[in-house]
Amino acid sequence: MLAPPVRVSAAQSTRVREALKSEPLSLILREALQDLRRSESAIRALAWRDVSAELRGSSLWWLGGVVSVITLTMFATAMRNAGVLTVSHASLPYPVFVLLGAVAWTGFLDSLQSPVRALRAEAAFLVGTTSAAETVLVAGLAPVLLRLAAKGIVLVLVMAWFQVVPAPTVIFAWLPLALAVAVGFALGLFLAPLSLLFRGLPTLIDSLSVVLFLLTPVCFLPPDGMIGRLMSLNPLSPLITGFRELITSGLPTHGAALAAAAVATVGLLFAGIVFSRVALPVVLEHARG
Amino acid sequence: MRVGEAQAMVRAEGVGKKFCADGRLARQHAWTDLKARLRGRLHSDVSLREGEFWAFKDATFSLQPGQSLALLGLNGAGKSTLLKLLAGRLLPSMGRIETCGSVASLTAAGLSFRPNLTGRENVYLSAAAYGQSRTRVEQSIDEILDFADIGRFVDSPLGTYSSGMTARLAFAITAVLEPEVLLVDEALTVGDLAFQRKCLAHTQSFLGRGGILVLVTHDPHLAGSICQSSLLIHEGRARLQPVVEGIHSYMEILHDIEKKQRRVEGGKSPEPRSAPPDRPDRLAAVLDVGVRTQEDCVRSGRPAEFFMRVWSLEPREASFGIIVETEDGNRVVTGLGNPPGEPSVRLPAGESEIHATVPYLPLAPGHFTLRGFLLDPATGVPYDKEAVGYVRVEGDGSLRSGRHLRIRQLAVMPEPLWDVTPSSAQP
Repeated sequence: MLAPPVRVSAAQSTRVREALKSEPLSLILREALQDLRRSESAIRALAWRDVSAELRGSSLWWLGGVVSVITLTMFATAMRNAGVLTVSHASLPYPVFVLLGAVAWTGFLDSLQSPVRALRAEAAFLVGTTSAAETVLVAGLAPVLLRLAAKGIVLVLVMAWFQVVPAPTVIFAWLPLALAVAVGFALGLFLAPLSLLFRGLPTLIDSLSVVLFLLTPVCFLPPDGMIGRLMSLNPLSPLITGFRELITSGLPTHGAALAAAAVATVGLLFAGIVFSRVALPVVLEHARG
Repeated sequence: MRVGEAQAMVRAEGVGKKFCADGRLARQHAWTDLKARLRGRLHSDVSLREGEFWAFKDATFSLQPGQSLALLGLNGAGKSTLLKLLAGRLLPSMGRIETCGSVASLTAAGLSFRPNLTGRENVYLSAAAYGQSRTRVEQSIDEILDFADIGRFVDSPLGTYSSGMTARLAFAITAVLEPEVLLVDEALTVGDLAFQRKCLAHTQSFLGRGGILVLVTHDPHLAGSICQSSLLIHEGRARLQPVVEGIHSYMEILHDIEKKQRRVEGGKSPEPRSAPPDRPDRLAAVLDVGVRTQEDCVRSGRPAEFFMRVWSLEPREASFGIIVETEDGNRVVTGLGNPPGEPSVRLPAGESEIHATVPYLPLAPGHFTLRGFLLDPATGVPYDKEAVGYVRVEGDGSLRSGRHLRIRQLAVMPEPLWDVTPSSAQP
C-alpha cells in the first residue's frame, strides 16, 4: 500500500484512504516501521529476486562489485609509486590501506544510489501491487550487500597476499561498515523521492560524490590545513578510519567521533524514513498523474 | 471470506480524483505539496490549481460480501483510476475509501510480472507482494500452476510467454490465493475461450463464496452477467445504478457519440446512399435500410415495417438479408430476409423498395444497427457492400429495458412477408 495515507487497524484490517494531508511525524515513523514489519515476506521475496537476477544475469556478476575497488587500489598505488601521491600510513601496506577504505567508501556510495535505482526500476511494481514503496527501497539493499560480500572476499585475499594479520577487533569491523552503508541508504531515502521530481538530481549527486570522495580518508589520511579540517568534519571519516583500524590495528583512535557518527547515523536513518514516507506519496502521485 | 471478526467490505464516499495535465505544473504542485506536508500544513483541498482537472467526482458506493460492481464508461472516463484508488495505488483528491480484507488487483497486463524471472519465481514474488507467506504459497503452488495450465513453461523466463499465458498465470495466482476483494480491469476476457469460461466460472463461484468484485469492462454482457450494480463514470460524474439501467445509460452515451461522429464526418448520416451508384461496374446496390412504423417512433412489441431501398442496373433476381445488431456488435437477428437457397425476389431496373411488416417488433428498448445486403442468388456473392442503418426502439412496457441482453440468443422474429415495390423515381 502506498504508505502514509493507508492506515491499517490491526483489529479489523480496515484500510482508509483519504486525500493527502499532514500528519504528526511520530505517527508517520510508527506507521512506516509497522508497514516494514508487515512487508517482511515481500522484502525477502524482492531481495531474493534481485540477488538471483544478479547471480543469473552473468557469471561475472562479482566482477561488477569488485572492479571498482581493485581499480581504485591499483590506480592509487601506481600514483603513490610514481610520487604523485605522498601518503604516510604507518606500517600498513599501501594497497591494503586503500582497499580497506575503498570497500567502505563504495559500500556507502552503492547504498546511496540504491534507493534511486530501486524506485526508478520498480515503478511498474509500485503501480501493479499494493506493496509499500519502502518495501522496494529496503529490498534494493540486497544487491548492495551481495557486492559488499564479493569485495570482502577480495579484501581477505589481498590481506593474505600482503601477510597482514587481522587484529582481534576484526569481529567488530562490521559495525562501522554497516554504519557507512546506513548513512548512504539514509541519504538515498532523501534523494530517491526528490529524484522523481528533479530529473537532473542523480547527475548532480554523482558530481558531488567526487568532491566527497576527496574529503574522505580512502586513499590518504587527513593532511594538515583546511582540507584536513574539512575531512575531520566529514561524518564518513570516523566510519572509514574506524573500519580500517578495527581490522588491522585494534580499537579506533577516534572512538568518540565514531560513537557520535553512530548516533547521528541512526537519527539520519529515521529522518530518511520519515522524509521518504512524507515525500513518496506526493511525488508518486505526481509521477502517475 | 472473513478477516478476523470483521467482514470484508469496500466503501467509497464522495470520492474524486484530480490530475494535472501539464508536466511542469504538476512538478510545481508536487513540490508545493511536499513542502506543505513537511511543514504540517497540507490539507485536503478540493479547489483546482492551474492545469488541474477532475477525472471524476462524487463516486459513492458500498459493497458487501457476495456483491459485485461494474465500472462503466468511455475510454479515459476514469474507471481504471477508480480501480487504482480502491487498490491504494493512487490517493483520492476528495472523499474517503475504506476497504476491509485483502485486496488484489488484476489487470490485463498481469501482476507487474518480471520478464527475467520464471513463471514459478513470479508466483512467489506476486504472492509476497500481496502479503502471502512463502509457506502459504508453497502449499498452493501446484494448484496455481495447474489452474494456469502453462505446462513445461513454468520454469522458463516469463519473457518467453505469450500474453495469454501471462494472463493465465496472473489470474491463477489471484484465483488460488483468493483475496477478499478482487479488482479486475478487463482481465476476465484474456486467454483462449476455454480459459475465459474458466475465469468466468471461477469469478461467479468467488462471488458465491462471499467475495467482492469490482470489474472494469467495456463489455455490457459481461457486466450484466456478473455484476448486480454499476457505476457509470461520464464527463467527470459517477452515477450508481442497477447494472441493467447502467448498461442502458452507457449505451445511450455510446449512441449519442456515434450520432455526433456521424454529424461530424459528413454533416449527415452516411445512409441512405443515392442512386445510381458511383461505380459503373455495379449491378445492384442497397441504398438504405431501416424500420418504420405508423407511430411517431419505433416501439418495442408493436407492428413495424422493415425496409431496404435498393437499386439495380437491370431487372434481376436477388437474395437479400438484414442483420440486426446491438450497438456493441452482437447480432440479435441474422436470418431476416431471403437468403440464398430460398426463392429470390425479382428486382425491377432502377430504384425499388423491399419491405415487410411484422406484427410485433421483438426488440427490447435500445439502439440497434441494421445491416442490409443484396446477394447474387446463384453464387451467394454480395452485389455491393452492405448498407447500414440505425434504429432506436422505444419501450411500451411490454419488454423491459435491457432484457434483450439476456434473451438475445432466443429472440424469434415473426416471419415477415417480403414485397418489392418499384420506386417512383425510375432512371
